[in-house]
Amino acid sequence: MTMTAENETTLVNEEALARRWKERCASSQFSQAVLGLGTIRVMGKAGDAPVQFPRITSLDTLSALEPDEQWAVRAAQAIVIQAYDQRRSVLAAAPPQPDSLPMPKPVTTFDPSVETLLVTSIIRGG
Amino acid sequence: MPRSLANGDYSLVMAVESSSRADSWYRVLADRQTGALSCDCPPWTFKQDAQASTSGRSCHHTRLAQQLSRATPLSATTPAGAFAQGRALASLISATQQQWPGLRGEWSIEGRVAEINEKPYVFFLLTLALGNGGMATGVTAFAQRHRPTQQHLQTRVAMWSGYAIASEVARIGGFPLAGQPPEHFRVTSGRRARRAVAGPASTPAIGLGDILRIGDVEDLGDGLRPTERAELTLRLFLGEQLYQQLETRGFLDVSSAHYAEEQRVYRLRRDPSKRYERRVRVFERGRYFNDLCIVRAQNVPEADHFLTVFLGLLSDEETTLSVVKRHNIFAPNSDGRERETVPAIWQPRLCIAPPKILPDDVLNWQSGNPGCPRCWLHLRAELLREMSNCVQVEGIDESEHQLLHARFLQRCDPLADGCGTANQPTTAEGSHRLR
Repeated sequence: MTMTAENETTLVNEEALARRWKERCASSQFSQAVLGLGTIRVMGKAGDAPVQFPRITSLDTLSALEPDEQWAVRAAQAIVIQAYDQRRSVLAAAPPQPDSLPMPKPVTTFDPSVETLLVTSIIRGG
Repeated sequence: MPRSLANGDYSLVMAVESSSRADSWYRVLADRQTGALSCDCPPWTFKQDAQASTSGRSCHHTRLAQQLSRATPLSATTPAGAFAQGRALASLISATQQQWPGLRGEWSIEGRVAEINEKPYVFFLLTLALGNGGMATGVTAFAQRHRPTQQHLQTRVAMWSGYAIASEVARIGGFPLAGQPPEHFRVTSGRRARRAVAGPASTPAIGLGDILRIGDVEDLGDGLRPTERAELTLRLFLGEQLYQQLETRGFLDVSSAHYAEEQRVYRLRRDPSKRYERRVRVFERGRYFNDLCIVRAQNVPEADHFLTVFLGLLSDEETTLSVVKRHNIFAPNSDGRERETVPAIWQPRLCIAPPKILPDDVLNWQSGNPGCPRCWLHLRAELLREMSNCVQVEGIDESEHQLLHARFLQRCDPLADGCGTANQPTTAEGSHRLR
């Protein structure tokens, strides 16, 4: 299969795709395969930077998404991969309901259907 | 502009894992103008290669890359055994396709075992044949002594070989840039190394290669300061009830799942000024046993650190405790004179051990074998759902006596003004115990 110019642009022009994804989030116009918005919170100097991605049932349905939505899923996946790479914990940690307790679950692979992920900070013995 | 891989001045020939440091990567690069090879490893950087010719600079890795580029057969290669089984190899391609969905064409992969400097390595050559006749390749070499897991192989092949192929495809398409490459080994001075841990001062553009740095972009346009943002996140993930308990009492207790026999409880205390780490107080069978000093290894607000330790002890106690070495354990009251009056009551929890992914498990990765890691993940999720009272949530309407006492303790705590940290020297050290 020949690489089209569009595919190549997809590879290199991340900024444009990020911008398009941000606009899409603001307008809430998502592809049909999108279940809703998921969020990865990355701890850092910022406090927590929330990164949004379109929730889908599995990565197999990625091709049903628009290029910027695909990019957002890929970015979320890259966060989980890099966190694993840097030995940072990624937790699926939904805010608890009233009168219940937090039940964080360690995550090692990216599940695009999950609602909230938290990339925790790096700790050491002091 | 300095010449770099990210700027398209070089192409990535091969990524080689350090034989001494697991998951530390040297890149063998080819200058796109001259074809000269270079490497990130210390022998190349410091020109220490005894076998270097007088005319050029080299290292074990560049010599090997040269052999590969000349299609000279490597000496004493063997098939990569279990690593090269069809399913295991196919999963490497799948992982790369998932990470780089824009790459289309016919994928193939080959795995071989060969030696670099007499140390055994597993090599994976990933190839993408493009529809227009072009071809892009990426080589990733893993040091066998680090016993790479299948997941490690998948993520690193996707990361390194995927990047090499993506940048080559982009170049073929007329685009010189392919974004930030993955993190690699760097020779750094002490100051540079410290700066690298703390993160860059500002990160104007985030590529997929350094996407975690998004956490370091301080101005997110929400009008909040980092401390305010972190406090909101802490509140969100604790829930209103626990957060109020923390605010009122200054600590939260987490019952240990791994040390159930000892009825261990971790008391996570919070600095009233919300600036410094406090040592974790450990109780066993209701007795205050020792202090664990766990501090930030990156620049994050205190609320983030507190939440990290709290959720870490809940979800993966062993990993969280693994940062604590013998010299990070202190005698009781090592960072404050306040006495404990609220009993630390252990409550039973199920022991949830993280899955150990061993090379032998690799072959069962996608099978229905109940011993395979994926099944473990599922089982663990089921177990976690049944996890009972792991955190002691006490009523907000606790006795006035306790509240008054807690406030008194906060006032007389020498660290309450924020002058101390969890790192301060201890007045007494003893009773060191680490399991």
